[in-house]
Amino acid sequence: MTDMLWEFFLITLKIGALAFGGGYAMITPLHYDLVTHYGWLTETEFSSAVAVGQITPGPLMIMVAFMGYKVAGLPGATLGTIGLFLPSALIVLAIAGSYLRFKDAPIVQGAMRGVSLAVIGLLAAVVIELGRGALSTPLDVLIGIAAFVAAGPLKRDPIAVLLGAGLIGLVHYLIVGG
Amino acid sequence: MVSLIQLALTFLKIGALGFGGPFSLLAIMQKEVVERRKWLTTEDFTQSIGIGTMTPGPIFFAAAIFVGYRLRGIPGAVICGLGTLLPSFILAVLIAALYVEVESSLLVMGTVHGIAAGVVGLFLSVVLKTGRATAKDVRSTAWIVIAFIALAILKVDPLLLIVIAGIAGAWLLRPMPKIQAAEK
Repeated sequence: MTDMLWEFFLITLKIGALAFGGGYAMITPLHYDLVTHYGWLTETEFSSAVAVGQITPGPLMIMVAFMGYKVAGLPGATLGTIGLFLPSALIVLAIAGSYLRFKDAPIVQGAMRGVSLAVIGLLAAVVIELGRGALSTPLDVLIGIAAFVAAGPLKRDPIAVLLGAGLIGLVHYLIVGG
Repeated sequence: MVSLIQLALTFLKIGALGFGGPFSLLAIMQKEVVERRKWLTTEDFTQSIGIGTMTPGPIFFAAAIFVGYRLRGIPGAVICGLGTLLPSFILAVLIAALYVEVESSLLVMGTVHGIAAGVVGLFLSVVLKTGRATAKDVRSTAWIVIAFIALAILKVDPLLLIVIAGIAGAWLLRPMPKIQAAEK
């Protein structure tokens, strides 16, 4: 393993273990290490990586596979992905393991009930945040309402709802040209 | 018991078709795992998001690992994690290897823009559904409202909020076995 590949792996491992706050919290530290500090990626490559994360399905942070490929080919993509996702998986397994062992204890039941309820408040706040970012034109609002009606009252499959929303956005850009 | 193959197929589907970021992935997981296949309850689903918020790294990935572990132990966790990552990993490597220009394409931008707007409505429906299934009395509704106000208006850190909710819940929401026994 080359020094660069090893160092890249350690950086992704560090960010994977320390970046709290979801995938978005990882973008700034990745940019600092890979662009500013080591100079392994150009600004353009970094923003391409973010765009790749946005257009591919699945987690946004798969952008690290694109970055890893630019840094060190397929081994870079593989190790970078492992480094970024492995700490999260191990920490979740540690929590899940002890949760399942103690889940019948009243204190644990109360704690998980408290977390579950708070999560719903959290997700409601997320909807407002998402809306503030994504609903900038009247068409966006219409797409949002249509998606709500389709997924809620009409019980349509969420994948179909998302693809429909994407298609409307695509057609609109084709007609108006952005 | 859920078979590992069923689990792999479900999470590969989410990984391959889940466009639009963590909240559309969670919405799809809710549909597939809770509503359609009934492998987990709504409360299990919100717990997985709670775990995802408390741990470092992508929220959906952590939730998928938790769900996989709940259903089939370590092999289940590995399969859910890999299934979530594999389709987009292959795509991202292909795009990097073939030097496809991504960010400049107007078509891609239009699609991403439309999906982002759709996620708002889609996710709102998921929040209402989970809220309705979870808020069964005044106390739990109040709990949700307080959490919402803390985040949306007071801008409390979500991680801190989840930790406080856990500690407060351990104290205030724990079942009281002794009192129930006395009533019987």
